[in-house]
Amino acid sequence: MTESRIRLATVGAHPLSLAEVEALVADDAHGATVSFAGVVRDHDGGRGVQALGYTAHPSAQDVLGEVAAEIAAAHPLVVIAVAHRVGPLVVGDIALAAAVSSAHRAEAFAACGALVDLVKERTPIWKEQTFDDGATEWVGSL
Amino acid sequence: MSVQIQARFFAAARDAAGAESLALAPQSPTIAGLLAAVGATHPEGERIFGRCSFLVNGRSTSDLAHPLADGDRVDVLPPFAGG
Repeated sequence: MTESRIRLATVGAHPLSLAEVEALVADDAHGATVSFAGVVRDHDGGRGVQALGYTAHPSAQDVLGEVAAEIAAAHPLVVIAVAHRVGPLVVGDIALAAAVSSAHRAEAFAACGALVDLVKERTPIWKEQTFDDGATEWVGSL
Repeated sequence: MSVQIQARFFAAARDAAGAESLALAPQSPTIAGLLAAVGATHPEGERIFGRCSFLVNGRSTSDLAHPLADGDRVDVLPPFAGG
């Protein structure tokens, strides 16, 4: 069963922290926790970035759940928690928080990397950058 | 025979279409026909529409020749950029 190994797969507007997702994958039998934070950075393509606005398709939460289930099925020894934030974010905010735990580190590293890659590939979420000069741009849509 | 399609546009595609949602009657009952119907009034959208994927009644496709039937709901999705 993969469901019991997915502790969280959610899309929402509340602020994210790594501590939150790491706590969700804590397990006395697991000696390795690997986590990833996708953080709003202050530059893109050589231009200064002030803020990012994330929007999601109504199916984003379901897709994130499918992504987590696919990773859980491909990595049968891990436990997963993943959350994506939407709405207005500023530099330093966490947009994507993921944590994976397992008995040993190799499986946790592999599954966390695969999870982040698949979230970015599949989840219907978009971000609009606001640059220092006030110009805006949808990332990846030019 | 004309078909009526309810189309929704997201992110950059919404900006290009000038609306979140449009009721369209494309001359050709395909996704390409639907995009042509939008492009007739929003020619600057052609580039972004060409990079989109689509949900037809909730099912994903990137096939511009995908046939559409009267009453279909089509979501126009630009390249994903989460994380």
